[in-house]
Amino acid sequence: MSEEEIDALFQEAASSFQPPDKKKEIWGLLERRLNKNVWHQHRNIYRITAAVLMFLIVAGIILYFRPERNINGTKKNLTEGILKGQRNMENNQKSDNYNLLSKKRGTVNHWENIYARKGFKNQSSTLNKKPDTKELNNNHNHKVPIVQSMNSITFFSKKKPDYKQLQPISSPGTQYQHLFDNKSHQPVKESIGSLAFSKRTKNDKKKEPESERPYSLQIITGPDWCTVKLRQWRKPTWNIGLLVRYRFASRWTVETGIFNGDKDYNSHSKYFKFSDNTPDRDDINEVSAESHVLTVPLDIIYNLSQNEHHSLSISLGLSSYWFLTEEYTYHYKGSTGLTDKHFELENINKNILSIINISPAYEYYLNKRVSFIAEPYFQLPVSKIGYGSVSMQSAGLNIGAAYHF
Amino acid sequence: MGVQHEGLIHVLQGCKQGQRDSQQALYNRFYKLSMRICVRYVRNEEDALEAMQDGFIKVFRQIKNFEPPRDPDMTCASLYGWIRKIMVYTSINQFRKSQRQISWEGEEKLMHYETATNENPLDKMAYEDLIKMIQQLTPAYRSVFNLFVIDGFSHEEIAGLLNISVSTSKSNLLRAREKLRQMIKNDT
Repeated sequence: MSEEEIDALFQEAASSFQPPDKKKEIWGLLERRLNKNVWHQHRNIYRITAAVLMFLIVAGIILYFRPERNINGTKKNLTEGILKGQRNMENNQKSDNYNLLSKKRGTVNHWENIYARKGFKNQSSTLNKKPDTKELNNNHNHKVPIVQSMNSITFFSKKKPDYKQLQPISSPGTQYQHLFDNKSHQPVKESIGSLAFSKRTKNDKKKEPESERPYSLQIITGPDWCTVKLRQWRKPTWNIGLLVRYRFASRWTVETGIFNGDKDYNSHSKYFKFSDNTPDRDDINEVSAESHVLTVPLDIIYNLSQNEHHSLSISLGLSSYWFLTEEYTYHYKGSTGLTDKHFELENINKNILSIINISPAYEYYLNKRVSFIAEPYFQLPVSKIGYGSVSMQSAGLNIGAAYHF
Repeated sequence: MGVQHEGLIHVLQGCKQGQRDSQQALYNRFYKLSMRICVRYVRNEEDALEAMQDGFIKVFRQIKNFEPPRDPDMTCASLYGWIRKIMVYTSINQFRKSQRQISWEGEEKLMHYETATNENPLDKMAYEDLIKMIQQLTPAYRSVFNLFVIDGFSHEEIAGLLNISVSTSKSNLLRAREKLRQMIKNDT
């Protein structure tokens, strides 16, 4: 046979050959892979969207059920705030503020003026005792400064106000004089809400220790790299997580939560434990693994330093892995002529508290409620991980936001 | 014909939008053609099916990049050429992935090929047997023979695709033909 005849024979065979009819069977497999690809292509978008939604929902629930949070105050909150502040003041009969206001007649001219303008007949009776805030609040002109002062106490701090902090800075009584015009005896608008003690309260607010908000909720996301024996590093996967922290001492915090992400790695066959049924396992050169994993950390955090806006901490703990899916590809040695083998497992393996977490963390406080976190981490196994029982190390960077409550 | 072209264009648009029905329609239409390509580049049917799946995944991913020709009558041929190219490349890539360390110029162990004896191979030999003969070639010979003889690549293109020299491609083709000739001779 000539070359042309051979070529023509095989060309005809190639074009006329009837392949086995496994159309439906193969489409089933193909469709499964396509569905998976759609998830893989958009998984980061899904995860980030889920994280944002979760954060908004949780934050919304917390904000909705949090009482007396509105500093500007709705009408209801305003009234509650006034009444609460009033009760606090009435209970604190020995408060220096009011003692100072009531003991010296000369220093309470403004109260006298207020009462006079309001039309109280018996002024002398009111000057020897604490002003009745109920009556004052009934008068529209004088409602605002009182309300503001109450608000500053009751809404900024949920605790009972410390009246020692409300002691006048200057001579008794004079701290309130700037609230009123000396000639007209009208409240000065600019001074509303800036009572002497409110200024001190503002300063004190900055120094409020973080322990007053022991809980925090964090949305975390970031890249994750996996390796076995530091042999090969693959492209990073993207993880997302929700964490809850509880501060149980001034510098100590515990943390737990859940991460959803992938663990992809390549391992040399000598580090991978094959099952006894694996065909030609001696000829396998390398294993590629792609796993979808839920990670549950349990960490303890020590706060190294902290000031108004910055915090530096280090955490140590253990993590558990729940493998939702595991995909492995066995790459055979080239000389064997064997093609790669691919298989999948679902919900087979879990490793409870089998990974050590080490991570320093930097936290920037936008305000007392919200902070941003950057946290590089390292995960070292204390036992063998996954189907192949490999010693898989991970490293990555968690970036996220926290809501403190 | 016009209805068929309209249907194909509709399927193409659906595939570009990621519609599963359209993808299945395209798969059904090109299953045989794709399988005929893949089965020639690998050693067995199982590997061919795997290569074909990979090929279709690439087709569905990259179909957004496929530009149909202006002439609607050429759409089917153009699409077939495009899919065939992807199938060939996928088969080659899969083969190269599993054969990283093979010597493209190495001597092969000729495998004895046993089939039922036929008096006239050109008339009576089943196409399946001929395809199996191609599969029995070593990967180096098989790839070059398929690419040059059946899929119409030039030696320069084959050299670039397989990362070998042009002379290696030519010599592998000659040896492949010789092996096939021996197989046919032994078979008869």
